[in-house]
Amino acid sequence: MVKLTSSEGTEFDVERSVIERSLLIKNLLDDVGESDTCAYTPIPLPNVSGPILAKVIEYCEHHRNDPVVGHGDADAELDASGARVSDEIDEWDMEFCKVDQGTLFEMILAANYLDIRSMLDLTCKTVANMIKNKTPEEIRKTFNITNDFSPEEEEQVQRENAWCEDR
Amino acid sequence: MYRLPEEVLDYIFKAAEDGALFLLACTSRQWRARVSHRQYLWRKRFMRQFSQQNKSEKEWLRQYTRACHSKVYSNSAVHETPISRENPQIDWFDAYSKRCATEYRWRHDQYSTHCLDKVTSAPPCGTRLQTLKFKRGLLVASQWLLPSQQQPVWILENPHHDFVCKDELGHKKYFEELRSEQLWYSDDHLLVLAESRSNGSILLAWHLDALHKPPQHIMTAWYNLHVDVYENWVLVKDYAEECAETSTLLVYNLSNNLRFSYEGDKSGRSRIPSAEANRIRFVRGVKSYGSPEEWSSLIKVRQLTIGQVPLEEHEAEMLLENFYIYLIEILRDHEI
Repeated sequence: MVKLTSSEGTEFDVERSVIERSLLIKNLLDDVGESDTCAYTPIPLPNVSGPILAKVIEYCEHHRNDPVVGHGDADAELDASGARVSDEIDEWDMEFCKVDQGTLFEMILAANYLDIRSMLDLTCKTVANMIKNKTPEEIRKTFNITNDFSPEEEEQVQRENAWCEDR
Repeated sequence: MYRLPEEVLDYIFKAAEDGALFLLACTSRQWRARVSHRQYLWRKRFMRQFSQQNKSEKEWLRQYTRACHSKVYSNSAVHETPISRENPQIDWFDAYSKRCATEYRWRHDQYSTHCLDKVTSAPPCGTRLQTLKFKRGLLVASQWLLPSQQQPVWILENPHHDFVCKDELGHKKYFEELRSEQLWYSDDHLLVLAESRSNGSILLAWHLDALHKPPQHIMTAWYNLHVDVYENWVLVKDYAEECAETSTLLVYNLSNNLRFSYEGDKSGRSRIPSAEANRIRFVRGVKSYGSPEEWSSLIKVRQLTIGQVPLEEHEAEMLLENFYIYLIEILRDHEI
């Protein structure tokens, strides 16, 4: 077992094989070696809050038997047919990502910090899907973006991007 | 989403569809900058979506680059000589958007038609965006971006000549007729074969930006010339007399007037399957064996690279089995 400490000091006990989906923690544990000290010395994660760490552990437990996605696949943004893969999120993952936007962004940051590539892909795809099939105004509302274009600039931008209607 | 670091945005943008990203870029100045400055992403998507193996796509990008170039240099003095278009800086986000917009306009019948009936008397002053490769006599139709006009205009021109040109040694060569059925277009040049009673066949070239200037002399020969043009490279082979065992093959670069000639195998056709700005590959000396159904051909592929002294040569022999009569076209299609 491995003990993790969140930013507020909450401790989590996790199976090593589960949390090793995080390359950051895996490398840390590999460096420490097989000694028993790692089981009793908590690993501090000052950038991850307790609720988010709980989500991370939930993700790692569910996907504990999946093959690890490495950085070599970083450019694999398309499937074999050349179509975007952002739609292909399985049911459990989709439910897992049904959280408020703030939590979703915290999960992205945690996945990035802990170096869990598959979770980072999943959460980023979820955000990408939130942009899809929306007008600029709807995107502004979704992500609380302030429109700072002048009326002339906005008209030009809309004219230049009329082709997006077809996409 | 503002507080997400750039590296995380990279992941989100990679997962997002192109149209969605463009609409995100329409939301605010900050998001426009954050989406558009990812040139690597947009270049990659542009190349994947609009393959540059496709000649039409390549031509579209060339026109786009020219239009951008003309905007950058629109305030510069009127250029008397053709402008250099090397190393253009392309904004790939803008290029992607413009390319999609072009397709959108075609799909939605948002285009205009122009009737070209008058040949211009004054040489256009601006940037030529494109030239139609149509064969109507020697007339050349080009689209120009003129400093005085907001929108590009189509102009019909006639290449200028006084039935005389100068060869590479500065000697005047006179001709009587331009053969309008014997013309070729490169990226930036129009090549025409002229007939001269005293000199034979003369291959001439005009830069499409400067059709009002005298033509450039490429080659003179007493025999018929076989010409192949690929981008700014020209391969000219003269068909020598029956008794001759060899014929002259000239490789000519229209951009920098570099020429390289040597004696070639008379029997084979010579073509350019692929070329880049400083390198050309061409095939020559095709020898065929076997029956027409199962034809094996021995070809020589020669590569010339403009480099040190002054051309670097490499020759390789290839035995291609079961190629039929369209061997050269196959080579060109596959850019061997």
